[in-house]
Amino acid sequence: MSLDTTRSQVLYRMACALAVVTCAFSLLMGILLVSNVMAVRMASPLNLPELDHLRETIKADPANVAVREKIRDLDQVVRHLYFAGLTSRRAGAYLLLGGIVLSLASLKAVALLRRRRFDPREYPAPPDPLRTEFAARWALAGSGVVILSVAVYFSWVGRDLRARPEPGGSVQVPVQIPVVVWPAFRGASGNGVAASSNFPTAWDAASGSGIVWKVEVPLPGMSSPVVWGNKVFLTGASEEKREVYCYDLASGTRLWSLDVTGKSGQVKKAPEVFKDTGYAASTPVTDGRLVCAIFANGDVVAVDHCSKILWTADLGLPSNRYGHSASLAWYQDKVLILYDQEKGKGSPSRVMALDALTGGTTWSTPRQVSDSWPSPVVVETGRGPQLITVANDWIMAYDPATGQELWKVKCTGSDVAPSPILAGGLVLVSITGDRVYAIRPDGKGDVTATHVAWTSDDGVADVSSPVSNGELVFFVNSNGLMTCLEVKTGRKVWEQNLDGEFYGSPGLAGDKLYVVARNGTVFILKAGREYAEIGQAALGEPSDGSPVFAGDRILVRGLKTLFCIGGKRP
Amino acid sequence: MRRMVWLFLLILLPVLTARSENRFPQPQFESGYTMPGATAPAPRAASYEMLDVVILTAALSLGTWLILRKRSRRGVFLLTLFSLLYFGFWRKGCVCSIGSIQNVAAWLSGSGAALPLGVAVFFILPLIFALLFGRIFCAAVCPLGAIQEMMILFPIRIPRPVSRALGLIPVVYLGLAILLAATGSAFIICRYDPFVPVFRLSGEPVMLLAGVVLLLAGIVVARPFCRFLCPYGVLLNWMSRLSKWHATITPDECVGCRLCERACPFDAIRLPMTSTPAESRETGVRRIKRLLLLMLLLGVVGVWVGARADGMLAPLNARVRLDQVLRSHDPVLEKLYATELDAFRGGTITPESLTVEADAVRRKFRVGGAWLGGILGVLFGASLLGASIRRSREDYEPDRGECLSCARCYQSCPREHERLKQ
Amino acid sequence: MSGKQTIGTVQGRREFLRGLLRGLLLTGLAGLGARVALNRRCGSADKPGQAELCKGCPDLSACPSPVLAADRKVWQLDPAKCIQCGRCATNCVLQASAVKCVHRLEMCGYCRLCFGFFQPGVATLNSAAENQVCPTGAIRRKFIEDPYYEYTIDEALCIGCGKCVKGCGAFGNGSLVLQVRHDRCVNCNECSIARNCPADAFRQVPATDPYLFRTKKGKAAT
Repeated sequence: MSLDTTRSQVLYRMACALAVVTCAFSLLMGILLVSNVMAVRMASPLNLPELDHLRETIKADPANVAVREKIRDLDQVVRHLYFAGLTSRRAGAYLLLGGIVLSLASLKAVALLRRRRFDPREYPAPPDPLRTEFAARWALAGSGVVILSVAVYFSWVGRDLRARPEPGGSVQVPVQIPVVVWPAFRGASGNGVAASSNFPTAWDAASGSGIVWKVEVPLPGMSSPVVWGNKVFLTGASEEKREVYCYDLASGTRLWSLDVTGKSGQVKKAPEVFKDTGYAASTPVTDGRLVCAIFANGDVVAVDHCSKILWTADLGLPSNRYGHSASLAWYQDKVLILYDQEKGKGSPSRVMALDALTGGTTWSTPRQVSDSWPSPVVVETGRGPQLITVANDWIMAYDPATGQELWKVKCTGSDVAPSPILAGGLVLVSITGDRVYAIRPDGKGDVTATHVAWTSDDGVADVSSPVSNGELVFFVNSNGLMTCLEVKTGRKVWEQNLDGEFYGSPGLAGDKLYVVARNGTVFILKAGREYAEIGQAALGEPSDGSPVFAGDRILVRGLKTLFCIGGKRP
Repeated sequence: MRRMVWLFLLILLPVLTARSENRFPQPQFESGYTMPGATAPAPRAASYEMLDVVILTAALSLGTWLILRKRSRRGVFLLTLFSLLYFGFWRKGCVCSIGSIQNVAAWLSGSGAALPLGVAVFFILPLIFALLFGRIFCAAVCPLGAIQEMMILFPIRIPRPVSRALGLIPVVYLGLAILLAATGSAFIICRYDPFVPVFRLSGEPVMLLAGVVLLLAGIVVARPFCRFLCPYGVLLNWMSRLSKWHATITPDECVGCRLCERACPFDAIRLPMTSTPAESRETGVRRIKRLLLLMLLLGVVGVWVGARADGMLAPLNARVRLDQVLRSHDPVLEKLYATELDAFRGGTITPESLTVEADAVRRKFRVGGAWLGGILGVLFGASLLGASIRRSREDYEPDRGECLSCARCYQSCPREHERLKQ
Repeated sequence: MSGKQTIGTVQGRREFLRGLLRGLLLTGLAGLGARVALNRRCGSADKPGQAELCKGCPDLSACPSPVLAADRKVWQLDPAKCIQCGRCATNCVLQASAVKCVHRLEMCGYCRLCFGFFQPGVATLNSAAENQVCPTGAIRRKFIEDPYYEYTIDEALCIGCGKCVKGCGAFGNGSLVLQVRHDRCVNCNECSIARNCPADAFRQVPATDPYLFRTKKGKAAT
């Protein structure tokens, strides 16, 4: 066909018009589709920070009807948008395809109508292929050189893994259910409070009901287990041997057992420890990547979760009358160690931070105190993190990042053992042989006169640390006297004699208190303004342990056995 | 009776041990409620894979007949349309011969990957046809080619230097694809296929965009993917050069009428070359010798550069990447790869065995990269050599390697018109 | 130029060499095809029912038996390795991901407080929007008898994000798992989800037994 006849001219014009219309349609469909995709991406049910924020609000305040309605509306809108978006996207894609096919057909018609047969008379001589061939050779060489240089460049530079695109689009699914953690002595905040409240209130060691598993720990120790995810870490030691263990939280299988005796390089004589303290009294600390443990002879070892030793440190044999017992604390990839020594003997008392990945000393601050037994605790006050330490004469707080002393309060304790907690904005400490102190942590320097909110002669625990729900704080002393004080005022709310001796610190889960007696009986009490016992359950073995709350399980260490209690149907 | 007791115990045993397996025991329904079972919809039946192979063979055979015997452009077009609809939009472009290179490479490398028979046929059959009859596959069967064919509306001529220069890209792509597939790292042909998302009407936005751009470009530059990107096309090009019966513009003999000069949208028609160069034979031979030396040198350079390929290419392998992140202790990297590290820590592989695996892959990359570099260097040298050799030609004929056997040029030949009249 | 040339001329020699090379390549390709096709013979084919024994084997990719090596493979997720990162929902090449949650009711505890259904720490146990973990409301909660409730998945609504799987696995029986649904999956040569899975939980399984229902965290597929 040529453009000679008017009929073909008319046809050509029609084809052009059709081409314009169909192309415009295709373009429009394309734009609609792209905007649809972008709109659905914005409001994907997976990625809505607003909805998450609303969910947090309603968890804190379940009775809020307005928030609840807002959540329901938003949820419905988003879901409708998402599914309607999917169907409209499909329909749009098909329409676009149809439009493109029609455009192509009409454009082809235009091209066919416009085509003219090649007339060689317009080009007198055929182009000389030889010249173009040789030109092509140079172009070939050039592109080869380019490719070669690119290859050489990349072979030198290598690949930067930081330039990583988000896998599969920009939607990140926020992880709402947290990993089960209890990474240090008395939990992540050092206050012995569980993250959830679904724990059993009865079990029977004799029949084994309610006990999910129990395993014998090869070497004894007073240290508590620490949990990260599905791994439980524990230490055990005798005079000659020191070991770190890893158990599976679900089944109790011992995943590995690592002998770390002598791994720090130095050969030292065994320390003198009190029978009740043992050689592995300090609870280790973990962050999922590694677990760091300290033993009674000053050996510090960091092991990764697959039992490979990352580093060791030797702090020297401690001179500590009852044996070193302060557990480790963790702050931002630093392991915090409290190393208080008898005055005048050996190295001076100090608190220090070791880099968790290398073992190098990040900071070390000397202390003017004698040997002590409470564990240091990192708390988040309104003004930033603080590392609280307790000794016979001083309660001191440091900045965990730098080791700088923040504030201190004078006290007159003897053989002080309980660790501090932060509750209701106050640092609560029970000083053995003295009083209970409640300190406002926003001071600087010696704040004995200015920042002590209240003190109390009631409730002084001599060994175990307190636990609080923010309103009430509970103490239990080694003879079994349990006291409940009001956090705000220090007023005694109730006190009760429990039948037993208590060394382990109580734990709080929801509104239930779990207190472990030395004979292995666990008292489950109501954490309220009146004393109320929910029940008692026996471990079947003596225990000086404190309860560890992991998911819906309670871990308690007995003399020889690690118990895992749980499995109650909610 | 005893059998009943044993049976009872057998049933009870899983119930007794179930407590250690499940946190919450199985419900005992008093109302006699029975649990529904889980549905397990089956994948596409295996017989459909055989159907694909049969249709492939039929299409290739029909294409050969249409191109070489019947010489019908319309027939080729209709077959192309069918292939677009069946292999493209119906089968969504996957299984494809281009990707089958990777499966064959992975299987041959002995890493334990399986090579299903259908995929092997999709790799071998078009190559055999190309070896005998030319690039029949490209003409009428490949769906990626078919979709580009539909976009050819106003094709322009690409100057020879440009098309030769760009012709190196598919060879490099082929080499990289083989190396990455053989080390079990990635199937880049599948990952960076621009047209399959169009067939599926869904996919990664970047690849969809690339597909659309290539298709739009295809309006003016005929079949850009086939000519300048397709790695399988490299193999078909080599096979087609050796073909016994190839498509010719004229059905019998060329009269030199020049009417077919602009007939090929892919610039695959070679003009007669009878002019003699203005240089002596000695100069020519010296050049050849120098180019041979250059080819050798390029091979050596290629081996040297390729042996260092593991720095850039090895991290494409997931194991190597994880090992690198794990050992870097870089907080930025650990944050980027937080999910992978979490999963790794919850697993049973130790960092040591991961490093061992990663080092094995890195070694494969060094060795494979050296081979790849060497071969690419030699090929580069060979193509330079080929471009410097003058081949005399008296007729207008299609380039045996580049011609896609689409039968478009037949209509421009007066001899063809005479044949049709008879 | 057509017509055969004699070996004597340059053209003839070239033709001969080409023919030779062509023949070699043809033999090579045919040989490759034959090797793949004939490799179907199982090494232990003497043992009757060997293929049946190997069904459900945890690591078919390492199988020395060539029968299954040539078997058609499809992609599947191993629940034992899955960490519920959520990438299954966003990485599939299909708009609505081919990975969906499947409820293995024979493992379910039928709990009133289902950890896969309810958000942690809910006030009331009803299926209100603020209480559900599932972002698209794809889980249906049905009362059977006291204290048992049945939870079923509406696959049309499920997007495969794995939030319910995470809750069920962490605190419950782990009866909810993600699986590739083969009526939706197009079985790509390189599965995009498999490539981005942080736990390397995807592998290829025979098309005749394409589901990994019987695995549990910490245990191999049985």
